[in-house]
This record gives sequence, structure tokens and C-alpha cells, in this order.
Amino acid sequence: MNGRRLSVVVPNRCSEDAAMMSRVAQGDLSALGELYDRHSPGLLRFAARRSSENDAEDIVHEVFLRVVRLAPKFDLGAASARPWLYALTLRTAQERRRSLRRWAATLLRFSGQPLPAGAPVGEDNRDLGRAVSRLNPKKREVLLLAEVEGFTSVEIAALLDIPVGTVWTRLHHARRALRQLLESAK
Amino acid sequence: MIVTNCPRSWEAEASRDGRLSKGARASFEQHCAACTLCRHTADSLDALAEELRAAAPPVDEVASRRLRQRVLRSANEWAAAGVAPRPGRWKLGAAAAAALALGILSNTLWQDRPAELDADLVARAEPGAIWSRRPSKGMDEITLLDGALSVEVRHSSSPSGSSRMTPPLTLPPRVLVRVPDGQILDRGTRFRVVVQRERTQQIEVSEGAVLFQRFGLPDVQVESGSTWRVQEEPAAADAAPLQTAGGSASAIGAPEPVMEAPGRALRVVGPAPRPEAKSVGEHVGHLPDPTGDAVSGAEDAAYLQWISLLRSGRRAAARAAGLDYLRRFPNAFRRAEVQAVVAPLESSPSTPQAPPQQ
Repeated sequence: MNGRRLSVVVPNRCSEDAAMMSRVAQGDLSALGELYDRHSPGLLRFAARRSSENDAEDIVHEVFLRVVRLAPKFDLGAASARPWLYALTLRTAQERRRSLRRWAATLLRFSGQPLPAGAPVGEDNRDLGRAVSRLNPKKREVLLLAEVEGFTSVEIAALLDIPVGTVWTRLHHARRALRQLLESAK
Repeated sequence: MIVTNCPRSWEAEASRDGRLSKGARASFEQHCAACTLCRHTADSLDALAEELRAAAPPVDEVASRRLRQRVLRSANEWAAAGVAPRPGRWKLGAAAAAALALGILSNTLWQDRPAELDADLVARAEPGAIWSRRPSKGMDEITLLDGALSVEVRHSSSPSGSSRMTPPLTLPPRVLVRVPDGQILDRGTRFRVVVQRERTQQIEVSEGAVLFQRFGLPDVQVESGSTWRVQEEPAAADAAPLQTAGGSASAIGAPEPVMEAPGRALRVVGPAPRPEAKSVGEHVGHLPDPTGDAVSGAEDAAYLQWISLLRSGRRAAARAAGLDYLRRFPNAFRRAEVQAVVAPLESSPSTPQAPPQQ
């Protein structure tokens, strides 16, 4: 009987994101494309700030492949997939970070090109970008999630699986550190 | 009068971060109307946020569209290989069925036709080969999991319109072929690679040369007119599994090469492989994972074996390989991914949960 079902089953009462996730879980790759169109700009931007612009595409690519695999486990009661996708992006970026440098060095060595000197790959040379990149990674990600991506402290706490008080503390220290870095750059 | 101190100035940040109740927030806003310091503090927080948003790198639309295609292509490959979250449900909808058919069709076409990766690189897979490719700047990456693949590289310094190879060893590699037990770098080449049972069986070089970098073993350079063959013996990975995550490179065994060529044609290069030469990374859309040590090589080999089994539809063997992977590499980079696929293979309770923790 299953073979006679001609439509993808989507729960009646769920958000658009949840409906897309449901369709992805049932193998509808067009829904993956829709999900990509909806969220990829923010994820690419966040990944670029969180890691580097060079890594952002690979991170987001991996994120959406994970979406295919994890979609069946997505909470269809969630109002949006956005926090879930950002959490995936964060974890992917963390995993990626430790291997990227060696990989880049390997490729460059294979191709016979010298390693680029100076600023780290993807580092923003503007004062603010440089200051942000010098923040402690935990503070940086909280600051970016709050101030650039617009997540509330409660959402960030859920996203990072940390107490909301920790989010507030990190935000406070991130701003203070950022101000100090900007002051010292002047 | 300029206010230089206000006991409520901390509320500017607290209000912004949602630490204040609704009433306290309204009270603070009223206070701001009269207190220049607090208003200035709140404004400066707004300005900082605005600057941060403005400093965000712009999204490259072209790159984003390219990435979209890459994502969908990789997802299709997974689907065609039966690794989608619920492969049996691909028949559910016409759209899904069409996507699946397209995936299979494109995969088949890709395997059976000579693939012009670009003007100076031709890869021709023989029927039944399982492979993928990923163009990247300056060097195309091909992953060959099983079967035979012929590659022809025409370096830009080759005579125009000719497939003849130029003196190769001075040129940078144009293609990287990842195989389960290492990787092969071209040196201006026409060559053929055969992989079976997760191991490289043969490398036949017609022109130029290739460098075969094996996990845990010295590099081998195979030159024009020669063939490298693996000896028939049990995989050392089976005979000597890794002990711990910090195990030695010798745990990843591989047979010694059999020289079958003019005397000069094949030689072992260097005492041991470079650490960075051991990684096998991007594979049907996965992130590269070079850790540069022997364990990385073993992990990569185990991972590729698992992928290969999945793609060949041997679910029971894939589940066993996945469980073995999880057991052997408790801190592996791809652990969450393997878990995510192995769990549904084992049983399929689908309960909502957060993204995987590493």
C-alpha cells in the first residue's frame, strides 16, 4: 500500500520550516532546495564570521547534507528550523576548524605554491572585523548570534545548550573585550 | 548638565539582552528620556550592533547558487546510493521519485561516459565503478571507491590540441585521486587505477608518472609504461587493527608493491609518507578530515569502507562496519555522521531531538 501513496505527508499543524524538514525527511529534495534558499544567506554569513569566508561554503555544504540525514529527527513542533540550523553550523565549524589549516597547507604544498604569509586566511582586515576575530571564540559566537543574527538570549542558550545566564555573561564580556580591542587599535 | 554617573546605566545592556522584566524595561525607557548617560549607553550598544551587522561579509550570490547545486547533487548521490534517511520512502511522491530517477540517471551517465571535468582533464570510469569528483581551484579531486577509472591529464604546457604529455615532474599536480588506502597525484599523466575491496589493486601509467601516497607506507612513484600491482594478501587492517586512538602507523597495513615494469619505472619514494599525505577528505560531499597521523588514515579507510558498503546497498555489512568504526574511533570527526546513519539502520525510532553532539 505504501507504494500507492503519491504525495509527501506533511503534518497539518507545523511551521513552514517544519513542513520543509518533513518533506526532506521523506526524500523530497526540492524541499532541501527551498530550505537552502531560505536559510543559506544567514548561514553563509555566520559561517564566514565564525570561521572564515574560505570555509563558509564547505561548512554550509556539510550542514545541508547533515540536514538530509537528520531531518527525520527534527522536532516538527519547532517554530523555525533556524536555531537548529545555526546549531548544526556551529558544530560543523568547530569540527572543521581543527582540520582546515593542515588541509590547506597540504593542498598548497601539493600544488607547489608557497603558504600565504601575513593575516590568517579569511581574517578581516578592517578594525572591527579584526577585533571580532580576536575575541574568544565562545564570546564571539554569542555576540554574533545576538547582535548580527538577531537571536534572543534564550534562543542562544537553547542553541548552544548553555544556561541563559552564561549567555548574558559572555555577551557582556564580549562587548567589553571588543571595546577594549577597538580602543587599543586606535 | 552632563551626567557622568548613573546607577541605572547597567540596565541599558540588561534591557538589550532581555534580562529585564517588561515593567523594568518600560521603567528604564522612561528613565532614558531624562538621563543622557543611559541614553548614550543604549545608543552606543545599538551602534555597535549596527556596525557588526554592517561589517558582515556580503554573500556571494554566484557562489551561493553554485553551492546550492553542490548540496543538491551530493544529496542526490546519497539518495541514489540508498543512504538517504529513509530510502524506502523515496517512492512516496512524484517529485521525490523524479528526483531519485534524475539522481540515478545522472549517476549512471556520469559513470559511463568520459567525463570532461574540464578542458585538460578527462576521467573515464569503467562500468560499475563507484566514484565522485569535486573540481576545485587548481586541482580536481576524484574519489574512487571501487572499480576502474582512467584519467588523462593534459597540462597547459602541453602542445595545443595534443594529448601528449609534457615532461611531467616539474609540473604541479592537476588531479588528486583519492582511493581507500591512499591518494594518487598526477605528474602530467595518462593512467588507470583499479580499486577493489577497499584497496588499490593496480595503477597502470601510460604516459607521465603518478605518485601513490599510501597510508602508513612509503610513497610509490609509478612512471610511464609501468604498472604497480598490489600483492594478494589479507588486508593488514584486518590482521592488525588499531589499538587506540593514539596507535601507530604500522597498524594500517598494506601489501608491498610488486614491480612489473621497466626497471626504472617504479620506485619507492622516501622513508615514510608525509603526515599530510594520508588524509582522505571530501567524498560525496563530506568535509575533508586530515588529521595528519596514522589514526587519521585508519579512520579514513574505515570510513570509506563504510561508505562503500552503504553505497553498494549492503546494509547489514554497512551497519557492522559502522559499529566497528564507532568502536574503534571514539573521538572521530565523522562519528556523529556515522551514528546518524547507523542508528536508523539498526532500528528506526524517529524521535525529535537536537542536532548531534560530538
